[in-house]
Amino acid sequence: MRRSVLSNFCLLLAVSLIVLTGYGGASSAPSPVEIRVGLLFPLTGAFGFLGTEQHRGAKMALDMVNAKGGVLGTKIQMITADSKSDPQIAASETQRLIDQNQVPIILGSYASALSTSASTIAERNRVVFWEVGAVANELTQRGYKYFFRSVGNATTYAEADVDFLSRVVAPALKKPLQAIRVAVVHENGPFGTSVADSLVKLLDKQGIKPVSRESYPANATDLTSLVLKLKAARPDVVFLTPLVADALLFWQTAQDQDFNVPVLVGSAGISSPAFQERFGNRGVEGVFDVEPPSAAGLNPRGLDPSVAEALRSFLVTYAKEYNRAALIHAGLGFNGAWIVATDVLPRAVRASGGKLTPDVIRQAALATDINDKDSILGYGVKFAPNGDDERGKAFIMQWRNGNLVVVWPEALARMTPVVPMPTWDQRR
Amino acid sequence: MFVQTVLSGLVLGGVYALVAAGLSLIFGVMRLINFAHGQFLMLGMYMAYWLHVLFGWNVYATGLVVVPAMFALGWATQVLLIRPIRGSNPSAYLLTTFGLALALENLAAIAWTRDPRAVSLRYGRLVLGDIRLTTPGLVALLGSAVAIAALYAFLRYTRLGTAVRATAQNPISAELAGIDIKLINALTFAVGTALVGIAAVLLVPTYYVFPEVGHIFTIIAFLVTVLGGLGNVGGSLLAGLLIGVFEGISGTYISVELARAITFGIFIAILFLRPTGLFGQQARV
Repeated sequence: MRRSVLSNFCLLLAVSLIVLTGYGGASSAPSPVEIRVGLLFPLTGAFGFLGTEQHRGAKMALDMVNAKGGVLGTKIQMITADSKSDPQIAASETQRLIDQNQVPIILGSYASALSTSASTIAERNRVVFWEVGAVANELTQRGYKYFFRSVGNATTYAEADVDFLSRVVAPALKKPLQAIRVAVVHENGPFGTSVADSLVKLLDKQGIKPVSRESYPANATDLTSLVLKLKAARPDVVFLTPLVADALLFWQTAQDQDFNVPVLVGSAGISSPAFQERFGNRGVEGVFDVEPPSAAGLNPRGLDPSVAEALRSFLVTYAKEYNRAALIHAGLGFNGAWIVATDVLPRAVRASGGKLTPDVIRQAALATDINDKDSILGYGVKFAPNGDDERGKAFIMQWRNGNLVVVWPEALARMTPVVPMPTWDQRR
Repeated sequence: MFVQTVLSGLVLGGVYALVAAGLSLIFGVMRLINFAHGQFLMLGMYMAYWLHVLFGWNVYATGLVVVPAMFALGWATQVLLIRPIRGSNPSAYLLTTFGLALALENLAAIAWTRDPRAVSLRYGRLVLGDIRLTTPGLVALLGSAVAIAALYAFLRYTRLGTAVRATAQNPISAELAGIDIKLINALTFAVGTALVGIAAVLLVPTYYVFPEVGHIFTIIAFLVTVLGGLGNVGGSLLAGLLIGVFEGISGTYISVELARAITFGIFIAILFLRPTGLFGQQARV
């Protein structure tokens, strides 16, 4: 009887001590919580060039936060995995990050095709998948609870396109909107198809029927047929939604075949530094792009001063370390990771009570509420129940003198748009 | 638009024909399907790429190194991999070359990653009204034609070439007539691979180079070889050009996405009507 009272008392004491130290919270010594973040990007393969940019941006954000002491005093442990531009490898690497490294959150993944397979694995394992760059609408139509994306979806691209078409292009070409000849060209994967579908739907609402709608496989080795068809259709505007290598191939073929069009609005590879490096300043002059704003090309005048300073610091550090400007993809990586590290994770750690689980992070993500002016890329973040960023927006950029600058809408624009683009003869 | 489509189709078709000629030759003489044919093309392309990027060589000048190197590679492959399994189970050849294909592709991916690489060349074009022919396109067209003509001349007018044809016709009689079959087999494989080396150099100016680039060329080479009649080098040329033009026309007039599928469909239809290909002969027993 005495023995059991003693052992009960000891047990009670031990449990109390554990409970009391566990509820230390922010006011106690630095939290013993471990913060592990997985980074899944295509560092090699067909998307390698832009996947690397996005990874660099994300890593830089996390490094910067760690340099200031980490999240509430705890450094973030980063584990990087290369999805090699292959959806199957993306899936297996996601599983590996979850099993071997026990990450509660994964930042990724650049491409819609990769995101689809990787986030499926994450959802199955109830791990948060924070998408920084892939925009296909279907990613948030699956009823997933652990999927979030800090970027506007494909519909935002279509909205920006149509807005630009009606407010800038039609007046500049001195044609009524319904008379504009529009061609919609896209790679036939989830990204290209999602953007093209959204675009055609919105154009239809304006009474515009495209004179040409073409899809092609992103790994096509020859696009001569495509360009010849477009030439025959004589469009005023081509909306091109490519991936990486095919974007360059398209432009090269357009040059070879002397395909001239007053306005080309591209995406993905068209906004890549490799595009400018391959064709030179004159070769890319005037080409438009629709995407979230380019970090180095946006006008920060509307941003909160501290946020503008963080952006400036990022741009300078990135340029110095990688010898090229941080454009769209590096900016998206940075923005997503920055929000996770400076907004979501602190909230999650405070609520976690010692163990950072995916569910705690998920709750913290749902509470995210950042305004446009408080966000580095000029568009805020607040998640709809399906994981889409309600405040996500796309912008129109233009290559001017080798720089990719935002030209529309005016809120973030650095320059006014120039329509039409130079012809190939004028580029020589 | 039609003329341009056909012209662009001919340029591509010429390269298809060149790749297929090598495959057809190898099959004709040794009754061997080389599954690694496309991967040899990939290696040739990487070789040309690196010589250009690392040492600044003119892309076409790299052929001076690439073609002999591919010749040697082909010879070595036949002697070290093919010859030792001669006489065993017929599927052994299939598996060996298939295994070689896998090995080469993955080794390339490890060595050079799967990033697609392109040489950035400034090149000119010929402009005739609405028609445009880029310089690399013209060179590819002429290069393929010359290479295939040279192959034909070799087979028809030289002693060695005649020995190759004799071996293709009947290996046993050829051996009895005093022809060194071992030498002829190695030579054939080497020549077939050298042709692929020429194709590689012609492709590099305008094509991306990456480990998987061999796949589609292997498949198309099979298609062209069968369409032209197995073992018929001249047939391969015509079949290659035909396939190239078909693909172009399907793409421009029907659908870019379905161009290849349509071409393959036409191939199936032709085989249905003529199982030995357009120019092939009945199988010899």
